[in-house]
Amino acid sequence: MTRRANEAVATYVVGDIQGCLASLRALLAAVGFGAADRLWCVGDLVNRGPDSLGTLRFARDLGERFATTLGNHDLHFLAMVHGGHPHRPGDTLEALLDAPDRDELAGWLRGQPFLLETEDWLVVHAGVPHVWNLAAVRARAAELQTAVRGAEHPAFFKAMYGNEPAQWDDALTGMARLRAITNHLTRMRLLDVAGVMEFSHKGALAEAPAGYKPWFAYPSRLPGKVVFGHWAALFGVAPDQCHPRTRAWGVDTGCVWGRRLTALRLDDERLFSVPAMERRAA
Amino acid sequence: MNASTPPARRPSGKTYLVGGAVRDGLLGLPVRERDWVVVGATAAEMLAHGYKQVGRDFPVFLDPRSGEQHALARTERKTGPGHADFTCHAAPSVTLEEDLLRRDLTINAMAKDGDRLIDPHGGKADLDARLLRHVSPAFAEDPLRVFRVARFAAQLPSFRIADETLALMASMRPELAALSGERVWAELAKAAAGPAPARFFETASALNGAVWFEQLNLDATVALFRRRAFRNQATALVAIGWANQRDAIASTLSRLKAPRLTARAATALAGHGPALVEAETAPALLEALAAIGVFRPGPLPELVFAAVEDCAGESLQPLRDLAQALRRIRVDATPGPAYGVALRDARLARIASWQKAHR
Ligand SMILES: [Mn+2]
Repeated sequence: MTRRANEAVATYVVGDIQGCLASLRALLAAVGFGAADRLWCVGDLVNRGPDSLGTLRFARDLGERFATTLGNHDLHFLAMVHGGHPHRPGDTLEALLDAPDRDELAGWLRGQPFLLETEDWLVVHAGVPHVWNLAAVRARAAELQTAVRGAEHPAFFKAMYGNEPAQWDDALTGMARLRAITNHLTRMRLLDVAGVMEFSHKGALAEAPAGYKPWFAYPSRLPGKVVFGHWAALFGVAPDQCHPRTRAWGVDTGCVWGRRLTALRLDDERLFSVPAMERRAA
Repeated sequence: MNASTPPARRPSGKTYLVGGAVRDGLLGLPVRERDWVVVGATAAEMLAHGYKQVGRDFPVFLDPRSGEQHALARTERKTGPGHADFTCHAAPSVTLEEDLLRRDLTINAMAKDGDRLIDPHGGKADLDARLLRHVSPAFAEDPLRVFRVARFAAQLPSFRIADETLALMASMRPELAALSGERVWAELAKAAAGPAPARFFETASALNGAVWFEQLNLDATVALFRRRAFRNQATALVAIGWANQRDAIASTLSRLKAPRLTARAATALAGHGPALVEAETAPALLEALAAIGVFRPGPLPELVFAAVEDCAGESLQPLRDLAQALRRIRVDATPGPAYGVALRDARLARIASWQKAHR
């Protein structure tokens, strides 16, 4: 009945968890997450939800079976730890910041990449701009990872924030280049045809500003399929909603906003979704 | 919740936790309700201890303290073609093992005595192997079990239906027509709330529509449920209309005795859903909006909007706003046919300007 052999190891890519550990546990129980199965996340493990600390500990304790790409909220947490950035309104990171194992968890998170790959799939937090090919996304994710992992990471986290540059240019260097990569891989939603990003719109496509389209509405230069998160208002994206040359699955279905937590099983391209378990703050 | 606390006062005989609570506990799933089997007691004893009998024909009781279901251990034998045609034999002499033998799947035929698992039919091994397997050939005596298995496939998506069980289900086809539509609908409704509703339709498809679903385009239905998440059970059920022809969905849901609102919304979705997303002319969009009940009171239009959003993966908020604006339009004309024409013209004009801005 299922295309998945019973003994095979499955890879589940789950949407933005954002501290919703109870929902993650419910989803894993519902899919029958096996002792050898792999859990990947599109990023934003933390913030806005109730249990960022528990989520990071749970993910870390899965060891080699877990991997995530880093999202903007993950970077925000790291920027508070390493770059002296303040808590912002709406953040729910206090317990994590006060935890005895905060530095250990931050170190573990800082070791996660910005791009996960299988033979057929790429996983990124926000997306891959149509102006990048496979070699470009690999090289740029690696550049950013080097900055985040390396000895100079405090300087990166201090200067990480900013909407500029909003357009890719191969000639970019230094912090401007790193910020451009960060903005593309972890914050991008809408672009114009020249590749200029628009950061203010987080809502539905029907209300997108004129001249801008989601990154997946442009023809992709990638050979494989992409899984991404970061855009809860879309309540998931399937390949039939993308440009015919782009095969992307969006798996953020707004768990932290009281909607659902969703995972895509890469092996047979099958979606699993459970309602959010967290009680919404009034 | 302590899964092994029996009620404070109980009749003679021994009480075991059975069925879904045992299964879900082992799977780490939330346990919603607990069912118990009482071995070695009589109905009179149960009543004397304050238990309330649930049905006339089955020795099933509610514990007035916990509200949980307690059934006397029983065996069943089929006497007719339907789901309800059984003679039921309950006696203090019926053993737990005999009671477990009449159940559908091995993973549902386990019991717990405190922390001790009682598993005479290999349920734990099938649970670990992620296998939906029938307990015995008596599975075929209840045709509803075909749809129960399809529902379990949606609720437990890591489980595979055993080949021999699927073959047995296929052989039960002649019995399926005698089922009541409501019972089949209830299984579909539970599947729609599960983590992978597509698997209900995949199972039906593997059984050539399993009689009740053979008018549907099951390939299209499966494809829709495999690529979209649905915000809730209601939109998932209505969404079936998105993948099917109007007449097919209307007749299928009518035979299933689906709730009226769900059936109307699913049928409206089949007939007018695509037009809501992509109608190019004002009259076409007005017709679709009227057909989904935008100009009448009631929950139908919002249910259709929500289901279309989940199916198409697109927000219909601008269309909701348009519908609201259209409802508020009043025209200055004398009552009668002229009023209707003037109202329609005013609505069409409003839609045309909206379409210019949004499409
Ligand atoms: Mn994000």
